[in-house]
Amino acid sequence: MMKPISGANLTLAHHYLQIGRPEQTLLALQNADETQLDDPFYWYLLAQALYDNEEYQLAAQAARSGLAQAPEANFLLYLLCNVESKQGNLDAAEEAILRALRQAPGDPQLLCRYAVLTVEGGQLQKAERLFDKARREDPQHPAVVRTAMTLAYLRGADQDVWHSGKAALSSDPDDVYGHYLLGHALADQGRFKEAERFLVTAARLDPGNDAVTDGARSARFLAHWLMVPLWPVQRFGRVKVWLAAIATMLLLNQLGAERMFAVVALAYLLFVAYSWVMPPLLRRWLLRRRRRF
Amino acid sequence: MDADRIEALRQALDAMPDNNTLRLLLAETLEKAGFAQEAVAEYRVLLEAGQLDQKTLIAAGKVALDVDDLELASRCLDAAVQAGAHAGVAELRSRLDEKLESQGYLRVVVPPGNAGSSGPWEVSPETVTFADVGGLDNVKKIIHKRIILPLLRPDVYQRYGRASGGGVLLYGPPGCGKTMLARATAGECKLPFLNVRIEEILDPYMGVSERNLHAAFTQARAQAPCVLFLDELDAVAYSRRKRVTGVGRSLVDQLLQELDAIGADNQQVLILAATNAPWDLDDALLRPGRFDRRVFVPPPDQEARQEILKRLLRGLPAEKPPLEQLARETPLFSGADLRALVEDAIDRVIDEALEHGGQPPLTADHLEAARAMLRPTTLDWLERAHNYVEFANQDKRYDDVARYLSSREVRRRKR
Repeated sequence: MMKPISGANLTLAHHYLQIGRPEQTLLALQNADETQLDDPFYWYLLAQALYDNEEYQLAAQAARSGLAQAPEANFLLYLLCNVESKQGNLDAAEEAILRALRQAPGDPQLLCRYAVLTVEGGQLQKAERLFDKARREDPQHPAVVRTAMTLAYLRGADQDVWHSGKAALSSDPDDVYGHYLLGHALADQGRFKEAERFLVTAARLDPGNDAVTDGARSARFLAHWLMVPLWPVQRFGRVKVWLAAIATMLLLNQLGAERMFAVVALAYLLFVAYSWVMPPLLRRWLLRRRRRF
Repeated sequence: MDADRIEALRQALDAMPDNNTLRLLLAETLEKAGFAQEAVAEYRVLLEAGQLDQKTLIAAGKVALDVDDLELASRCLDAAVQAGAHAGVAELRSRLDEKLESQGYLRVVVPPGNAGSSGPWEVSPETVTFADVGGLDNVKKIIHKRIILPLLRPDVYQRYGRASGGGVLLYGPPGCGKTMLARATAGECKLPFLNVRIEEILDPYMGVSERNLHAAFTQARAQAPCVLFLDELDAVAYSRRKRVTGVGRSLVDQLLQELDAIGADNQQVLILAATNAPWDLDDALLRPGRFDRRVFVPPPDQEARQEILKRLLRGLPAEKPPLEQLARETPLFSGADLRALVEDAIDRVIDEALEHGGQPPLTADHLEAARAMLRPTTLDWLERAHNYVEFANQDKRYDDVARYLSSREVRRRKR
C-alpha cells in the first residue's frame, strides 16, 4: 500500500508514529527538505501525526496536500475520512471513503470504515449491508471482527455482542476493544461482576487509554458489594422500581395487611435513603486516590 | 522594539560583563534582528568562556556559517560534538563541509579524539559528576549502592557471585535529569561515556539499524570498562506485543541479543538506559540479566528544587530571591520546568527595563508571576503513571512510582 521510506528523517518520523509518539514524529518531520514535500508519504506521516495529536483541521490540510500529489493514494483517503469524521463533516468523510472504495471496492477495511461512518450518520441498515459485504470478502479480517462487535452493540443485540466478542477474544486474547465492548454490554444487562472482570482486564491491557480506565473504575463501583442493594434500580431503572413499590403498597392496603404495608413502606423509605446517600459516598471513597492534579 | 531591547541588554551587560545569561540573550536578540556579525561576536565570547550548551553551540555555529566565519563554526561544531550533541550536528557538519569545499579547502576526516575510540560513536571521558546534579540525593544513593559500588569494588561482589556491569534502567517523568544522572554516573565511575540515540541507529535500509546497534555494543566492548547509554529506550525497544506491524521487532531482538552478549562479553560494560515510558518497553527487556535494576527518578523534592533554583539564579542581578518559598510553592516541577520559570521571570525583567528604562533587578514578584503562569509538565506523566499503578502493577513493577504517588508532596498538589 505504501512505498518504502526514503530519508533518515522520514524513517525516524515513521518509527515514532508507529510507536505512538506524534509529537516526536512532528519534530522529526521539521527537518524535511524540499524534495520530500513532493512525497505523499511525507504528507501521510504529517497528517497522521497531527490526527493523533488531535489537531484535526491541520491534519485535513496535510492529507489534502498529499492527495494533491497522489490523488489515488488510498492510505491518505482513509485518513482523510477519519479526520473529517472526527470534525463532524460526515459528507466530506463519505466522499473520501467513496473515492477510496472506487479503487478497491472489495477492501474489507474500507467497507467496515464506511459501515461505521453510516452508523454515525444514523443509517444502521445501510451499515449492515456494507458490513455483510465486508464479511463476505474476509470474515477473519480484524476490521470485520471489530465492526461486528460494534454493530451488534449499537443494535442492542446482546447475544450477537457476546458471540462476536468471544470470537474476537479467541483469536486475540489481548484484544482491548473486545474486552471493553463485552464489559459494556454486560454492564448494560446489569451483570456488573462479569462486566467488571472484562473492563478491568481491558484497563490492565491498556492503562494509557482513559476511556478504558474510566470504564473499569465505573464497573468497579457498580460491582461493589455496597451497591448490591441497589441492583433493582440499576437493572430496571428508578421509575420501574418506584412503580413496583407503590403497586405493592396499594395491594397490601387493599388486602388490609396494615402491618405488612408499614414494613414495606419503611423498607422502601430506607431503600430510597440508601440510594441517595450510598452511591456518592462509595464513589468518593473508591476514587479518593484518583483525584486529578 | 528590537533596537530598544538590544540597547537595554547592552547597557545591562556593560554593568555586568560577566553575566553570561544576558550575553546569550543579547546574542540571540541580535541574531533575530538580523545583526548576524554582532551576534557572532557575542557567541565567540560565550564560547571562549565555555558557556554555550549543546543547543546554542549548534545555533551559534549556524550563524557563524551565515557570516562565513568558518573558524568559529568549526569550533562550535567540535564543542557540540564533545558535549554529546546530536540534533543538528549532521546538518551543521555538512553545511560547513560544503562551505569549506566551495572555498577550495580539502576536507580531512579526523577520527574521534579519544585514542581508544574505534567505531562510529563518539566516546568521551565524562566530566559531569553527582556534584553537578542538583538534589535527588535518594536517587544518587541508590545509584551509588546499586551501580557504582559494584564497578568500583568488583571483588566484594564477585565473592558473592554478583558480577559488575549489566543493565540499569532510569525511568521517570521528562525533564527530571535522567540523562544528566546517567552522565554523572559515568563521571563518578571515571568511565568513558558512549551515548547511543535512536536517530543514530535507525536506517531506512533493511538490517542496517540492527547492524548499527550491534556496532555500538561492539565499540563499547572494545573500550570496556565504559558506560553505554541508551537514551529513549522505549523508542529502541518498543513492546513487540503492542506493535501493529512487524517492523521494528528485529531491532528489539537485536538489543536482547546484545544484552545477553551472545557470542560476546559484556563484563565491565555498564549499560545505562533512560525512558519516560517504562510501560512501552518490551517485557523481555526487564527479565533478570537484562535491565533488572530499575531506578525511578522522580521530580525533584523541595530541597532539590531550592538547590536547582539557586544554581539557575546564580550570577543574575536578583534581589534576594525567596528560594525556600519558591521551592515550597513549586511541587512536582521538574528541573526543566524550573528553568522555564526562571527564563520567564527574566523575560519579565527585560520587558520592564524596556518599558521603564534602568536596570531593574529580578525580584520575588517576577518569580512569583512566572510561577503562577506555569503548570508542571510532570502532571500528565503522573496521571498516566497512576493508571499503570492502579491497573497494571501485578508484577510490582511500579511499586516505586506507587510509593511516590502516595507521598505527601503529591497529595499536597492534589488538594
